[in-house]
Amino acid sequence: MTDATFGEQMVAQIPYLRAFAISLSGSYSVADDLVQDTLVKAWSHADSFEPGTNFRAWLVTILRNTYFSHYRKRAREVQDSDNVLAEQIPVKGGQESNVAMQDVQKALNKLAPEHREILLMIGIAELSYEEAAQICNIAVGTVKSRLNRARAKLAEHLGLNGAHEIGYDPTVTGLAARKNTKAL
Amino acid sequence: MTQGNEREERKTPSAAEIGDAGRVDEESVDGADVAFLEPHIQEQLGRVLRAFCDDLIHQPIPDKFVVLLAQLEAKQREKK
Repeated sequence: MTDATFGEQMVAQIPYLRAFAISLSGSYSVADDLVQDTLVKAWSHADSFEPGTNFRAWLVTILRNTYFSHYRKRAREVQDSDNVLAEQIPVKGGQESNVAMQDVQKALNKLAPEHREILLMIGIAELSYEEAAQICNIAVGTVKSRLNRARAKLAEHLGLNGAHEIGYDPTVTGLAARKNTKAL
Repeated sequence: MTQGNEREERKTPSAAEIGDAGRVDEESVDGADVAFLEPHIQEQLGRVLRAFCDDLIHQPIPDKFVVLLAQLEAKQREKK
């Protein structure tokens, strides 16, 4: 890979990295520092990228590790002290669904980080279950299990979840859900 | 969604993955206790999340990132 290509490829990935960082940390300021760190690290470790593998997955690995080792505490403080994200995120996506963007982020913030990151790796970074498993160093089954838990919790926090009140057949809904595990 | 295809292309079944297969079911069943949503809720959540993710991905990118990469590239060129 030539340097120019490497730089261009990085630029192409910035929107995904930044989206991932914003929703992982719940803060624009944390996210921007995190993305900047990630780009610098990626640049200086360019030769550790294996050509032919997923470039975005490689960058997400760096970003994720940087987040958990340096930013997690700060992100939590920011989340607690002021809701930066709530004011900045446009409500565009919410219009179709009647759920505002900030409500989704608030609900995401309530998830365990281990669950949130899986949901975002699949939903924002569009990684495969296998790639997410590799990045988090867990089994693919654990990825699916965390994803399911994350979705259930999220539905609950967003008030979508009638499953607890309504009697439902876990076998039938379970099978239906499992067929769709690839979907968000 | 188009990612499905990319995902398939990238998939390179390894020995480790195949070895995982047994565990996959077991853990998915474990996740099932708490996790399975009614189909209409699932659909609704899927739409909400898709909109949320798409919105975030399409946020304008601060110039500083592109500037930073250009600087890194320039620095590297100098070294050579």
